[in-house]
Amino acid sequence: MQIIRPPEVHDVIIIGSGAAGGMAAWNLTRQGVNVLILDAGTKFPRHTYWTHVKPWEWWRRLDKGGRPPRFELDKKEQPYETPEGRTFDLIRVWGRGGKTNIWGRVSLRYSDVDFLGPARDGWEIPWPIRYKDIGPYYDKVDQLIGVCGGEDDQDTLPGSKYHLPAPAPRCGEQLLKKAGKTIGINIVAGRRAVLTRPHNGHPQCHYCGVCGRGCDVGAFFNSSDFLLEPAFQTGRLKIIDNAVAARVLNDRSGKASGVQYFDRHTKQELEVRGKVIVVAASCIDSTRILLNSKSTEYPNGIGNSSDVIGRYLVEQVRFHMYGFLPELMGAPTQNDDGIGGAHIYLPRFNNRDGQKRDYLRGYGMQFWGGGAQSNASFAKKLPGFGVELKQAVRKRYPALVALHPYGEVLPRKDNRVTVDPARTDAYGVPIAKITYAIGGNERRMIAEMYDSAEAILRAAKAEILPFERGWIDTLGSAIHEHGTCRMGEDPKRSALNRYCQFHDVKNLFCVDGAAFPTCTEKNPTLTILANAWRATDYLAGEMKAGRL
Amino acid sequence: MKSRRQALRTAASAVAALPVLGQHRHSAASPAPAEPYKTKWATAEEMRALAEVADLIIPRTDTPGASDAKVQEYIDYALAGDPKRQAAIRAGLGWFRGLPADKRVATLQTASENPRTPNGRFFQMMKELTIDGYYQSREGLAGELGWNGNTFLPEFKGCTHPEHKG
Repeated sequence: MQIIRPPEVHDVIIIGSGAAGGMAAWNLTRQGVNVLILDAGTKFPRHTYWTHVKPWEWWRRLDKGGRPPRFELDKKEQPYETPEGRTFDLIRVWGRGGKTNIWGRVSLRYSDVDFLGPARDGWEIPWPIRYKDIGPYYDKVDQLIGVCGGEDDQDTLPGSKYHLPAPAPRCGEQLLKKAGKTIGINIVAGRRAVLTRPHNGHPQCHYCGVCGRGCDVGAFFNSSDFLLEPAFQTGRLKIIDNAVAARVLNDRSGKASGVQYFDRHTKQELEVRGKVIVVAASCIDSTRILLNSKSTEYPNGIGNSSDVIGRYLVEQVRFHMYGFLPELMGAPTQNDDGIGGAHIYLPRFNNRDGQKRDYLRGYGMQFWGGGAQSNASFAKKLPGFGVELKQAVRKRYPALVALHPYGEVLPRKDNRVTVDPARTDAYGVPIAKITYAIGGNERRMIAEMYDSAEAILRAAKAEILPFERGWIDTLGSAIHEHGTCRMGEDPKRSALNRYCQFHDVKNLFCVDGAAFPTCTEKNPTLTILANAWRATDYLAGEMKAGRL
Repeated sequence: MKSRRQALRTAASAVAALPVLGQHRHSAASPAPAEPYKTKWATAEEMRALAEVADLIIPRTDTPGASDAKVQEYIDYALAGDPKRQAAIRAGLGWFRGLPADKRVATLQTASENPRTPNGRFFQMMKELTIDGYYQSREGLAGELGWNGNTFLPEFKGCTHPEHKG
């Protein structure tokens, strides 16, 4: 097939339309820049969501041939590899808005405990930015997208100024807060990008509780409704659907000149030309694109003279612990859906409370899945069967609480994404190979995470569902990949400067989670939005000054 | 208490925000499936045995039991693409059907206490499938457990018990 190469030169080409790409497009178009987005999928039409399909209707509908929209990319359509016995669960959403269509909506600002972590303990490179650099952007993001939460700032969780009202805690959450207090653990209101009142023209949440199926009214932040639609209204945004980006192209001078992509379905090869290229395809896909962008000028992949691209992959460790609270055993069932997921959060308290630990960095804790759920999976771990089992389930059903600690994983050189020319996808482009393992620091932290979760449940006098100490969820399952195209002050040890601009290639930027030198214990989307806003302010300024 | 009118108003504004009215159907407007379920792999005899084992795990009491909620159909559906687990269940059902009727409960009890034996594994599989099927059915989830979620609420009240507060 002949390669299609339209002659038009776009101001900025953005690869990806999720939190990072959407923010870049929104911020650049409103500043007068013409933007082209390459999106690997299409728009997910809200009226097709199965948001209000009851559990008992779900499988019967499937049986009759009905299908809910498929958000998650099929691993068979776009495979990746891991070494034998080292699973990494990579969740990708190709299509308008990416993972923000189905994200967990936990919106926690990083603090200087996070930004200064590496500088203080000396493990790997420091962040090139501090809270004072990104704080104003957090303020703007909170006001733009709407984040509900409390007013309980602390050194690991700053910036509650613009919060929408926090949703009322559920019974189990109140009781866990109370129990935490008795052992000096301060559980606070959760911070979530869910609209607890109408905001910027978006409707408020109607508390149906199944946000993971996509919101049928757009009452939580998603890039498509909150960023791309307003960007379209400027008349400066174009999106090419089903455009699977393969490589960033460069000219003889070493400047980025365009993007090679393939039509997802026809597999036609195409190229678009741009003055500036912004990579925002989410951590692993962005990394794969960069590593595949080899040329005479960049034999190791574009922007990779430091050889850090692909390395220092970080993704959090987590596990799950469940219990039943005595006050709620046999209580009347309530509607516990709320905003879907936890209304409370336990901010990091370790390695900042004056007590010495045998590991670096920290963990926080989420609490989703408590109270009346739309199933009773916990019953599988109760003993026996028959009337006794049935009664035991009914008694415990309203009393369920769930604890989910998330811990930071340290960056290591050999935790990495690589590409092998011999292993290619349907378009002939090398696929990603993800090699990832945790080490002693994480195992020591996990031991304390287990102790803390158990201590909270014991303080609440809960009946604890049996668990296996030390077990962790599949690596990758936190869906918070970072580090493989990190920013830093030292061009020998980082790919990007503090504005996500490549040290090697001035008209190339990477603004997604790949740019973060550490993963912290927190959910990253809010920081991705703030950082992409900051980076593209710089980009727009450089363009206006004629330096790009 | 918020009025019913407010609840309806929230629901109406939510529906009005949908891009294509009419193509979207909420569950309340969807008729219950009329046609009977077509089995995927289990024989009629196996369906009866699935119902019998499921009823031993979650029996009818003052509320419906597993087979009242057609858990056997859920199990047949859930294993439709999984020949390995079909074979395990099929073998287990064969064993179970061979037991004298008056020994079935006691034998299942023994199996439940020996999770590493083949019968123990069969029991655990059946227990898990029955729990998934029953507690996601209308009878089990709404009827037995009182779940009333995945709906429209104008506000979320959360905990209203002063004694739960710290």
